[in-house]
Amino acid sequence: MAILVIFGRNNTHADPVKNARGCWKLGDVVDVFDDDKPVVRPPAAPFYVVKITGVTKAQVEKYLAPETRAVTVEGREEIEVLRRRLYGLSVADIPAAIRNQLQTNRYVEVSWEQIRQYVRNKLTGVGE
Amino acid sequence: MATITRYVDPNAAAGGDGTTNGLSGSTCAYASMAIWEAAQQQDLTDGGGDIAECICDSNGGAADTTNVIIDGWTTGADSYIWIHTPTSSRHDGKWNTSKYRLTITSNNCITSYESFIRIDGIQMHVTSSANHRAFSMPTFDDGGVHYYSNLIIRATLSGTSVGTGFSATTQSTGTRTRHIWNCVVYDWVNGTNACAGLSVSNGNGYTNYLYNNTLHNCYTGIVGNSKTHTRNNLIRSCNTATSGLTAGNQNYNATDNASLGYTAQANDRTSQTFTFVDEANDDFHLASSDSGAKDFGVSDPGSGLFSDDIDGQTRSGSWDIGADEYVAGGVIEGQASLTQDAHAVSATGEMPLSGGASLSQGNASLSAIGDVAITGAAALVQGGNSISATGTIPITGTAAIVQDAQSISSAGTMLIAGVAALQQDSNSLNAAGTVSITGEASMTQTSHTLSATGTVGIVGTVLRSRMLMGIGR
Repeated sequence: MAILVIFGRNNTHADPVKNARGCWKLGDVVDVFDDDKPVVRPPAAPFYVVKITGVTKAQVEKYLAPETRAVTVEGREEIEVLRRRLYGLSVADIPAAIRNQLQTNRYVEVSWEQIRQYVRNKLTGVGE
Repeated sequence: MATITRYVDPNAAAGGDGTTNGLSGSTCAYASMAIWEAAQQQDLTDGGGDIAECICDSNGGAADTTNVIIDGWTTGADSYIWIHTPTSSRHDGKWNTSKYRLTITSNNCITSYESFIRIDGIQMHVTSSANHRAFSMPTFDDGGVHYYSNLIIRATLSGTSVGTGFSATTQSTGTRTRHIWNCVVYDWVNGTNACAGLSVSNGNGYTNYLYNNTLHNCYTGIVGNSKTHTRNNLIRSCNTATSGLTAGNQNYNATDNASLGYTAQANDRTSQTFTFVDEANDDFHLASSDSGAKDFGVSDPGSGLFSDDIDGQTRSGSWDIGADEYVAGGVIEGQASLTQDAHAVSATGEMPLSGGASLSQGNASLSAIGDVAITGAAALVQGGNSISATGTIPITGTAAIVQDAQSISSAGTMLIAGVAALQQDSNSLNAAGTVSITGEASMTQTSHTLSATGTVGIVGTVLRSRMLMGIGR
């Protein structure tokens, strides 16, 4: 089992570059934990907590990765962040019963099979 | 203007609002710095100037393992991000796995796009086979000011990594300022790759002030630009001490290399021998015997920016070079008393007890790298563990030492003089030098040996009991 801390709103910035690159968006995975991590219920805003059976922390850690590209700075290859997270939970698309629990309690327990297709690559739109 | 204070503790439950340092309940600390950053991301200037304070602690010893990107905020000179540890639970100047730390694998520890930020007292460890940093600053608006202090920044690099402690994108114009002081930076090395401890070059759009940092085992210690100013930096065991620096902006730096990488200035020091307390275990505090850095720095290089060292100890006199200011340990004097029941008392320097001072040590060892001096009417009561000193242990005046169940050993001499009294009940007393008992001093040793590789001198109206063994007596 793994625990995902999900950002629960869309932040914005007047600077369009900062807005796209730096602002947290609804569904971004902020952090992940093993299932033995205690969880405050309900979690404080602006977070949702999703406890998922059938998947390990190691398997979901990739959802913490930003969207990046390689650039060369002073002859060295550097990693430039384009967006906070490459993957996100598509909250609007998850089944209503789960979404309602999430919005009411800010917390839900689901299986990986129930939710994996809604964890999507933002570039391709493809679920896991 | 307000300070928005929130707490981070990796031992806390997930889902707290961060308003307390508790580990459970709705107001508990955020469980990672990344969660704090997400929760607090905001415009700090909209209310006239707020400070976003992030207090990092680890009440339980867990590490924070999630990399942090600070971005999407609006900051200003009076509206900045302030990340720090509470002074009471900061690392002790060396890597400490019971204190707050960011330990990140295959990523940067902190990537910051914000222009006004202060980070103090954090430990960071990057493990990577790629080009990752402790701090990456991809953009940094003109006029921005960064402060980094009292940090421990280390790396374990492999593969093709060209890791550096700091990095930023090139800015050739403008004025961006970075102040970095009292940081210990080590192991930014991976064969002959161009790794570096403090890489603050990136064009002349940056002005850098580097004071009192200790850099150890980095391929290059400091990589700077023509607007980098350094004072009191200690650079040891690096392939190249510095590169890119303009000589006129540097002084009072020291290295074991033959060259600092620029034309040495009047008070710079090359080919020095530095002595640390425990280099093998990455403890880069200066030893009392150091002759390469101690008292060779300039006082107050930052013109009031800071006055202490990485341990929070006040610097004085001619400052030491590097992150640590050597301070003789454990001074207990006057009518002061220290009662220590179940933990060790140790000093990297001498430990004098003088005047009417008393030290009562219940059940753990007392050790000093220098002398343990007990003078005047001072008393030392040591219940259940050893007393040791790499220097001498003089007990003089009317001082008394009572040691119940463990050994007393001194690498130097052991003098018991005046009307001093030593009572040692059930273990040995050893001195590499002489043991002298003079005047009306008394020594009671009930059930174990007393030995000295030098002489055991007993002079005057000395009262003594128990067997003596003296080589050369």
